[in-house]
Amino acid sequence: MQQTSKQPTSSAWPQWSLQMLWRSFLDMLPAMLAPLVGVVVAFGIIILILKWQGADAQVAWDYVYEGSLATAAKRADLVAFWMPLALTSLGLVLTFTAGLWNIGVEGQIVMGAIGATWAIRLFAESKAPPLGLEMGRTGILITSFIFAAIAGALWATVAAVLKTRGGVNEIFGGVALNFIAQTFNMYLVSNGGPWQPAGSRATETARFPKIARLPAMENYRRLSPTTIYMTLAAFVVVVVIMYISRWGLQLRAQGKNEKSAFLLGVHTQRNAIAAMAVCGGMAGVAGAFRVMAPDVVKLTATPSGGIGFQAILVVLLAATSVLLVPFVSFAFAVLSKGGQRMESGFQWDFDITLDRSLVRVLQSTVVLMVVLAFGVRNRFFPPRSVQPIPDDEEEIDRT
Amino acid sequence: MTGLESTLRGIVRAAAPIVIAGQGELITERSGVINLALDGTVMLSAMTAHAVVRNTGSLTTAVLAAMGVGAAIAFIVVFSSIALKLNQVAVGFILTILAADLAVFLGKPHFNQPGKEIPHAPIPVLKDIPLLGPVLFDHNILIYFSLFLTVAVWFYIYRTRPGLTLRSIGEQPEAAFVRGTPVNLLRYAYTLLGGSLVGLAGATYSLSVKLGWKEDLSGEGWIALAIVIFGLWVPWRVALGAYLIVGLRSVAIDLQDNNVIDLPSQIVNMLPWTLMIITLLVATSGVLTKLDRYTPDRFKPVVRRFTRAAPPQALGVPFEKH
Repeated sequence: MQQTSKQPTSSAWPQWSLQMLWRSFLDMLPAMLAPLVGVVVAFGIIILILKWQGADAQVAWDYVYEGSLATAAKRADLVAFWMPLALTSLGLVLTFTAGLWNIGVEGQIVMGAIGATWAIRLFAESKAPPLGLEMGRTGILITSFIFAAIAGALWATVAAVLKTRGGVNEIFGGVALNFIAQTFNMYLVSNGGPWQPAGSRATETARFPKIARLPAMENYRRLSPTTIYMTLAAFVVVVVIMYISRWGLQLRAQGKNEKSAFLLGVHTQRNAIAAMAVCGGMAGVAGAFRVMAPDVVKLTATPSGGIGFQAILVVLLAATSVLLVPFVSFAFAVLSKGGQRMESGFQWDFDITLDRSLVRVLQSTVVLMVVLAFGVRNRFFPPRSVQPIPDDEEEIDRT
Repeated sequence: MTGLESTLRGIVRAAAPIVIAGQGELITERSGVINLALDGTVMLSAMTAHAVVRNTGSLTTAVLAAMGVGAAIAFIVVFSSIALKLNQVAVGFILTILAADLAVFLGKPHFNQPGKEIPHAPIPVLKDIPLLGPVLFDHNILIYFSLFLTVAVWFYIYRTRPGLTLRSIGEQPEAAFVRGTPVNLLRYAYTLLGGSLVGLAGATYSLSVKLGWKEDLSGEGWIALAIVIFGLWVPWRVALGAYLIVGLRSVAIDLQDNNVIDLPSQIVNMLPWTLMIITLLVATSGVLTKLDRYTPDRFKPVVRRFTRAAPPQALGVPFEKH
């Protein structure tokens, strides 16, 4: 009340002073400290777990570094893992911005993988491709990406329509569709399923023909440059959507307050379906990356390898900021790739059993702690909000 | 024991953890909180119970430890939702992944190791009743508890005053608050209660139904969550859903083992999810209102009793005093 009565005169603003800078710094401090504190606490917990298991944290990190970043070949593997994760996370930025919890992303990746495999079976493996389309390598690769994108987008659209038309919460619908997609995938490749090669006991399809493999880099046979270009393109597209386009603004508006956005003329339902479909398409292409990667080239029992849920963690940690997604997903990729080396390193050199799932524990602990830290910040150090001048005060001033 | 008896008995046994977890989640959701950490909680508490029983040999300690794990995870969910005003779905999702990975990591030394089983305790006289005896009264205490729990939760929610309050804070928290109900305090209490029941479900797996710690428990918690929704937040429907799903699963496995039909087991695994989606669609689509309109007045009470379907109105919505 006392503050509002002292109204600044128009000439007094803006008046820069050291004090003001200091105060704005103090205002921003909790926002900057929150993630930092969260990360520090999470790492503290993991270091304690390592100590308890009799392992040295420095050694653990050395192994993770060794397994992910130390040599050029390791870095190539890292990038090969990073690209589908980043692509999925970029798609999720759109749905999370619109306030949609696309937990179904895992199933969308699986459906994308299935879609790509289907296209390869139709056009590259069969003697008589449909419509007599004999395609070269480029044609087949493009077709499989299109099939993957459509399959992922359709699967996402099912969840979106269930939500907008059927009133089924996208989380519950998404979980259900995940399991259905994974079970369908299992059906295709296991126990004499239609896509399992005759006489095989392995739960996977046969290796794709040479013509349907992504081109690999000359020196690093497991990394395909195509995935890098496509992910980069997707990054640019999402940045444009989020920061330049009107659609991005609409998504943001309906994410903040769906009802007001609708009342202001935003087609919230159409946007929700579109955001889900775009995200599903990108997840589908990520699924295609996973099956068509030069070192995989087949549909396995778990084509996604859990990157969908990891991508959700990435987006939560990046606070749905597109610009942070590459960095966060990179850190996650480093941990994921390094975990394997950490497990084998401790096993061989120290005879300590340290399961690689520890790195996944670290990932989710970091996300949990950062989210909690933001909660603590908002609760106990709330950002100073600008208070509107109450009407009665204005009256008094005028009189 | 006849074939039918042993099949039914197996279903009652195998469905017990899902029933317990489902009723726990039902209590939580009826109070207006979504605890999405169900799947990870089941895994971590199952692992905990197994590890504790291997280290201490005490089944009671193991069960209590598992319930403690469940309550602890539920506490993080409800605390971050009420005190820190965070999105409970986000926190629950992170926790389910964290708990599952933690279970795998911490459970490595106990993986596939022999554990201890809850002693079999047939009930003396009742077990000799034909059909019902072997099916219902020839189990261990945790399985009996799952049977008892459904009745108890139904009675509590629909026939007692605190149960009425529980429903009110999930439907109309503002109205309940005006009448003097400590909404957030009760939400803490019911989420902790629900969480510890989910922990108990985990213990039921590792100490009885799927003896020992294996990592294949992933997915059971999600099924329990699906069944709460499939059962539309009514205790007996949740139990029915659990028995139905587990029954279909075991029948499909039986048929496949005997080569009666060549039904891919995956089709059956898809069923809970498909059923859940269809139920939700039916419940929210207005078909039921139409059905109610065209039902003759005489049958309305009966039909209404079976078609009453609405999620708690304040589910997932934080309550703030104004």
